[in-house]
Amino acid sequence: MMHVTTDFPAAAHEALGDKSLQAALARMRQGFVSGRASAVARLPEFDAYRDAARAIRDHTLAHLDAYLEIFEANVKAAGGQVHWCRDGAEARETILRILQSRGAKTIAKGKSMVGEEIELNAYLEANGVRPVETDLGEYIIQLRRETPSHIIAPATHVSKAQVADAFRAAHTLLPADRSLAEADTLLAEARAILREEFLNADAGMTGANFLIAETGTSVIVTNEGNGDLSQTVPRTHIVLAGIEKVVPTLDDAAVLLRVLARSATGQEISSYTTFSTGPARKDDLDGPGEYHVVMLDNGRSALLGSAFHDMLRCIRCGACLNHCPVYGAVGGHAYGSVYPGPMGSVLSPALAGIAAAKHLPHASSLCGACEQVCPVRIPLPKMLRAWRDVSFDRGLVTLRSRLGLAVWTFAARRPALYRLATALTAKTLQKHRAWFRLVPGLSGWLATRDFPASSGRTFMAEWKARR
Amino acid sequence: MLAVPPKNPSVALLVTCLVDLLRPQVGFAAVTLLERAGCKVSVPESQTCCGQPAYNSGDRADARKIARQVIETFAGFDYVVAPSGSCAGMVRIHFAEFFADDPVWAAKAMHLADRTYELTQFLTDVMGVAEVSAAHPGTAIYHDSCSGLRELGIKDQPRALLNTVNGLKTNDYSGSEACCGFGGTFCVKYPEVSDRIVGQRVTELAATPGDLLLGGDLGCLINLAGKLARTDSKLRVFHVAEILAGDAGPAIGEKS
Amino acid sequence: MSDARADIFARLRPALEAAKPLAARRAAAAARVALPLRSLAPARVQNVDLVETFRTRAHEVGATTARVTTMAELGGAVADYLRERNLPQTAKASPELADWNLSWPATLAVAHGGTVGDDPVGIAAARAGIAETGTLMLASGAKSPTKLNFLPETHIVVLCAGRIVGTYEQAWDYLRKNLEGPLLPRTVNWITGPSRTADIEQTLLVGVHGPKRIHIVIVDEEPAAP
Repeated sequence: MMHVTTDFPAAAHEALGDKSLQAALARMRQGFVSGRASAVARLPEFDAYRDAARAIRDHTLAHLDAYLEIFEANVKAAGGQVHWCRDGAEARETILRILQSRGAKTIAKGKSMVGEEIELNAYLEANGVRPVETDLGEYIIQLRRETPSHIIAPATHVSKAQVADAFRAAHTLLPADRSLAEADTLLAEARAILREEFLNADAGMTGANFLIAETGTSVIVTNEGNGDLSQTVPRTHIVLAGIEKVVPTLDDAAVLLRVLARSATGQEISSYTTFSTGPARKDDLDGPGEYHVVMLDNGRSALLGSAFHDMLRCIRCGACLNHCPVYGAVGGHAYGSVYPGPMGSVLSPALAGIAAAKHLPHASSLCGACEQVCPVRIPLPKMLRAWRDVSFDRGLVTLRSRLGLAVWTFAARRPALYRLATALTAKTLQKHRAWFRLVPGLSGWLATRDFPASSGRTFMAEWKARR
Repeated sequence: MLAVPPKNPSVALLVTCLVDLLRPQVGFAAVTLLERAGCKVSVPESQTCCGQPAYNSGDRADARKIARQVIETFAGFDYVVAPSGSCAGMVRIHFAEFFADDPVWAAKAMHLADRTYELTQFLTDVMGVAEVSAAHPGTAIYHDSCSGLRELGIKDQPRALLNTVNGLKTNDYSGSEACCGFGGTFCVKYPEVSDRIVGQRVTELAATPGDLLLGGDLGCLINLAGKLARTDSKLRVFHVAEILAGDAGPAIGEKS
Repeated sequence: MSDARADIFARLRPALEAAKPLAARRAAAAARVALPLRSLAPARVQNVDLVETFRTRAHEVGATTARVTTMAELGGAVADYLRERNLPQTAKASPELADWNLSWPATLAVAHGGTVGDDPVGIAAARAGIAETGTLMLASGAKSPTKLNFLPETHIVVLCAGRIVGTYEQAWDYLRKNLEGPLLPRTVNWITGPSRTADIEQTLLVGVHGPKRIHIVIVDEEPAAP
C-alpha cells in the first residue's frame, strides 16, 4: 500500500506560515492558470478533444484486460519483457532483480510518479543501487531528500536560493566560492553533472504517460530530454507504469497528447514526446539492449467498477492541482501524499486506505474548479464526496463534527423546533455576538474575519409578521 | 422545465438558511423581484435547509431524509426559486443522487429539480425579465459563486440584469470565478486555509476599481465582507437581489 | 511471476464482466487496434499552407527554420546558420544523410555516424514534420542514431517539405506506410522546440539536458534515391 502521512491540519498550518513556500505558490498559481487558459483559447476544438479523450479512456477501461493482453503480446513481439506486479513491494523487488542480474550499480531515472508512489529510490539505495533522478525538479528534491510537491513540477516549492544551497552541499568537487545566484548558472551546473551520470549509468528507468496496445509501445513526455537520455544511453531500459496507463492505438495517444500538455503547463505539446518499442534492433546505432515494462496494480484494479472508477481515466496532467484553491494555499506537501491536490485526495485514500488518508477528501471547498479543467472530465468533487460518505460510515469523522452535524440535523428535520432555534440564534447574533467566539469553528473565522450582525429576527418570523 | 411558463406562475421561495438567519432583506428583495415579474410568491413554512451540511459531510442518510422533506415541502408549485446558486444546485443537481434505488422518490426528486432555479437565472431564463426597475450609482464588481457558476452555468444572467440598473456599471475582477474559501463546512473545518483563500480574493479586489461587491450566494458574501472589513477597503457588499430590487439598505457588515 | 499476472487479471475481470463478456471485450479491442478510431483534425491545419503553418508553430516554441529549394543548397544553409551564430563548423551527421549525395561547404567539417556526446553539432533527417504544433518526427534505425538528437548542444534537422503533414495521426499514417517491418522503430521522437525547463521558480530556461538550439532546414525536394 502507498504511504500517506495523516496530519493535514497541522501540515496545512505550517505551510501557511512558510513564506518561501507561499512565494512559490503565488508564482505557480499565476503561471499554470494563465498558461492553460491561453493554450485552450488557441485551440477552438479543445473541448471536443476533451470529450474524445474521455471516451478513449472510458473505452480502454471497459476493455482493460483485453488491451493489457494485446499490449503484453506486442511488447514481447518487439523483443521486450513484461513484469506484472500486484503491489509496490513486488515492483521494487522486480526492478532490483533486473538491476542486480545485470550488475547495475547506478540507474538514471526519468520522472516517474509511480516510482514515487512505491518509494523506489529508498529501496534501491538500501540495496546497493544508486538511483539518479535526472528531471531537474526531481534531481533537486532528491538532493533535498524530499517528496515531490506537484505531480508535474516536483520542486515547485523550492526557491532558487534553496536550489543553490542543495547544489553546494551535493557538488562538493566544484569550487565552493562559485556564484550560483542565477537560474541559468544552476542549470548549467545541473546539465554538466547529470550529463556524466547519463553517460555512466548502468541502467535507465522511465515512467510512462501512456502505453500503446497496438504496438507495445511506452510513451513519455518531457521538456528537458532527460527521459530520452535515461532510456537511450544505458544498456537496459526499465519502464514503470500503472496498469491503467494503456490506450488502444497511436491515434488514441495523439488525442490524449493534444489535451495533456495544454492542461498541464499550457504548452501545445511538450518539447519531447518519445515512443519506445522494445529494445534496440540488431543493426541500430544506439539504444538499449533490453526493454522491460513493469506493470503495477497496487490498488488500481479495485477501483474498476467502484464509485472511484472514473479516477482511472486520470492522465496526471496536474491541472486540478494548478486550479485548486486549497492546493494553491498550502502546496503539495501538506497533503502528505505524493499525489496531492484534488486528484490526490481521491486517489490517495484508494491506494493508501481511507483511514490513513481520512483528512484528504475534506481538504476541499468543493468549488468544482478541478472538474472544470480536467482534460478527461473526471467528476472530482463527486468522488471527494463519495470518500466523505465512506469516511462518515466508518466513523472516521471527529466527534466534534459528528455531534455538530447531529444537532443540526435533528433541528433541520423538525421545522417547528428549527424556527425556534433560528429565532433564538438570530437574537443572540444581534445582542451577544461575542458568545460566538466560544463556538468551535467560528472562533477560527472570527480570528481573521468579521461575522455580520443579524437584524435580530429571521426572515421567516419577519415574513409571518408582515403578511 | 415547463414548456411555456404560465403568465402568473406560483413560485415557492426557498429562503435558504443563511438568508433566513443572517440577512432577511435578501429574501424580501427576492420576493419583490418575483412579484414584479408576475409571480404569485409563497413561502412554505415547513422549510428548513436543503441538506448540504449533511451531504457534504458524508452523512448520506440524513441528507436523504432532509431531501425528502424538501421535496414534500415544495410540492405543488409551478416553480421553486432560491436566492442562492448553491442551494438551487443542491436541489437541481444532487437530489436525484439520493434516490437511485427508489424510482418513486427519484421521480419526485426529478420533478422538483426540473422546476427549481436560482433567482437571477429564473428571472431571465424563465420569466424573460430583461430589465429591472432600480437605480444605484457606481460600479459593481461581481463575484461568481462556484455552485451557481459551475453547476448551473450562471454567469451572464446577473450581469445582464445589473446592467439595467440605472446608474450602475458592472465589472469583473481577476478572482471573479475563483473560490472565495467559504465552502460551507470547509470554512469551519479549515478556517486558516479558508482565510488564506479569501485573502487572495481580497487582494485581487483591491486591485479592481469598484464601489460595490455583489454576488448571488450569501455564504460567499459574508466571507468576503467579513475579510474586507479587516482591511481599508471601501467596497460595500450586497446580495445581487438587494440591488436589483432597488432596496439597498446597510451593506453586509454595516450597522443598521 | 506468472501468479501475479493471473491475480491481477482475476482482479480486473469481475468488474469488466458485468458489462461485457471476455470474448466480446477481446473482439472489440482487437477490432479497434486493427482499425484505429480517427478523430477530427484541428481547423488550424485544414486549407492552409502546411509548410508555412509548420514554420510558424516551430518558431513559436523557439526553433528556427530556413527553407531551400534544392538539396544542393542544403549544405550552404547549414553552414550559414552555424556561421551567423558563431557556432563551431564541425558537425556529426546521421549516417542516412551520407546516402543523400549532399555537398557540404569546405568550411564545414561533417562526419557521419553516432555520437558519444562530444559533438557540438548534430545533423539529422526528420521522417516527417507535423504542422499542427511544429513538431518533428524522427526515428531510430540502422542509419539514424537517437543520441544524435539529444547530446549535441545544437541540433540541425533536415525536413523535406513533402513530408510535412497536418496532424499527429497523419504522421502515424506516413510512418506506418514507410515501415520496413511489422514493428515501429525502437524510438520515435517527436521534437517540438529545444530542451527546456521551468523547474526553478517557474522561470523558462532553455537547454537542460537536450539541445540548447534547434534549427530546421526545410528542403523542397526529396533526396535522390541512393
